[in-house]
Amino acid sequence: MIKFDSQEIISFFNVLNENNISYILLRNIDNELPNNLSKKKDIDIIVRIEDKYKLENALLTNNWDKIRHPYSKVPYLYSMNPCDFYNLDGLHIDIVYELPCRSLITRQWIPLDQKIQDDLWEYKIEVFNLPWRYLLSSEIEIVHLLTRCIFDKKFFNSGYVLRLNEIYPLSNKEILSKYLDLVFFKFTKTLLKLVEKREYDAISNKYLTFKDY
Amino acid sequence: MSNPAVILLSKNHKGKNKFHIEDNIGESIHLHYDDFRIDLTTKEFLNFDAIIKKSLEELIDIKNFELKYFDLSFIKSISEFLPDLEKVSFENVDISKLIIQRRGFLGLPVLSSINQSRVLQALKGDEVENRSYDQINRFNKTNEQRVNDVYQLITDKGYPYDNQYIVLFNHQYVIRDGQHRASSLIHSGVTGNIPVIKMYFKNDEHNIAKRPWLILLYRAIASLFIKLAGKAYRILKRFIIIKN
Repeated sequence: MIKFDSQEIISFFNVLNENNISYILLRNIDNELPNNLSKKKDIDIIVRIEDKYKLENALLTNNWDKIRHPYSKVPYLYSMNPCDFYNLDGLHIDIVYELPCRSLITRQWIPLDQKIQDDLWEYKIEVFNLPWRYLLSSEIEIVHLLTRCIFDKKFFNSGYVLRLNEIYPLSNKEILSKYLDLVFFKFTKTLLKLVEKREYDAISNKYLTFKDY
Repeated sequence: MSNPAVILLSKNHKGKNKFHIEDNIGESIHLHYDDFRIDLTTKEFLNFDAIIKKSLEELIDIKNFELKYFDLSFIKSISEFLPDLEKVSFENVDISKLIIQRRGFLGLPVLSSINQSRVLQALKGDEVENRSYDQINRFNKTNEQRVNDVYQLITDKGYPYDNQYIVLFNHQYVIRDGQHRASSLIHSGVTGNIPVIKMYFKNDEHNIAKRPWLILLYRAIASLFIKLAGKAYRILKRFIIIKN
């Protein structure tokens, strides 16, 4: 597997940190960052919309190019801010300004509920001795991984499953349930049971055939 | 609050009015009529569905008009014809006389004998035309699967199974619903008379034209003419405004 030089990844996070950009690393599946990121993958972060232009200036002055997002033609609903995509020597950064998911059938981008958007900044986790400074709280990361697997990818790959298994026991189930209610409504209870039992492959089918509401 | 899992169950746009039904998984069923929305639980929606079916049968107060005899998506597709319905009868027709509508030259619709049906061709192994057909009323099923499933059902259970008859209009032999069933019967060797449902409309209305492609062409030309006339009117209007 051809990988990125970890120094390139560290440099990117240095740009964010030195310019006081308000950001959170959305995911680090299989702990690929910073040493094992495949050349086929990109880095996914969320940035506060207020810092959009500060980020743009910081990256452009550090020789990054702003390029067309691979999903630029996908419509954004509910006034969602369009995602941005930056490139430096093949390293791609996918930037969102709200935690999104794709609608199941029509495939447009939609932002998750505002409560989740607000709480992801309020309850972000500060990390030390790593190139990045912030991660999502366990509860919001679980919501993010589940929505990504169910709506965007439409399957649970092993990296996502490992991460879900790792953080689910650490999460506060009451808080998690409240967040999931905002996306999955009455399916939340069933979904939590399936995650608890690690029956990820059954989730999509149970969701699509769910009728107890 | 936005539900990412909204499934459009049905829509009907008549003139300026928009009606659609959405299943918001886990949340509720939404009935939208223009800017008006009703939220229902799945149980309420199923009750509502039963009431609508009963109401429709009472509104179309004609002997033999019972929804159990029809595919509901077919009834939806002919809903605007129903006020003209005068009679529904069970009759026997010679299966070899049945006619289907298919795509001819340039994809324009033509009438052909049932022996040229894309379904029958598919049952004989030639899937090309059947694969290209845009199927609207069977979800999660490929065209090939549908052909095979209907054939299997007809050979296992016979025809008409579960009161589902082939439907014809007026005195025509054109199949309006049931091409898969008719093709399966022919492929399984059935000849002679078979029972069908005939729907008779006032003044023989809603027949398929002998040359359906001509109607389509006429409509396309009329639509183009209306568009061009509208454009010419707008150009003229702008010209007059500039002149003044």
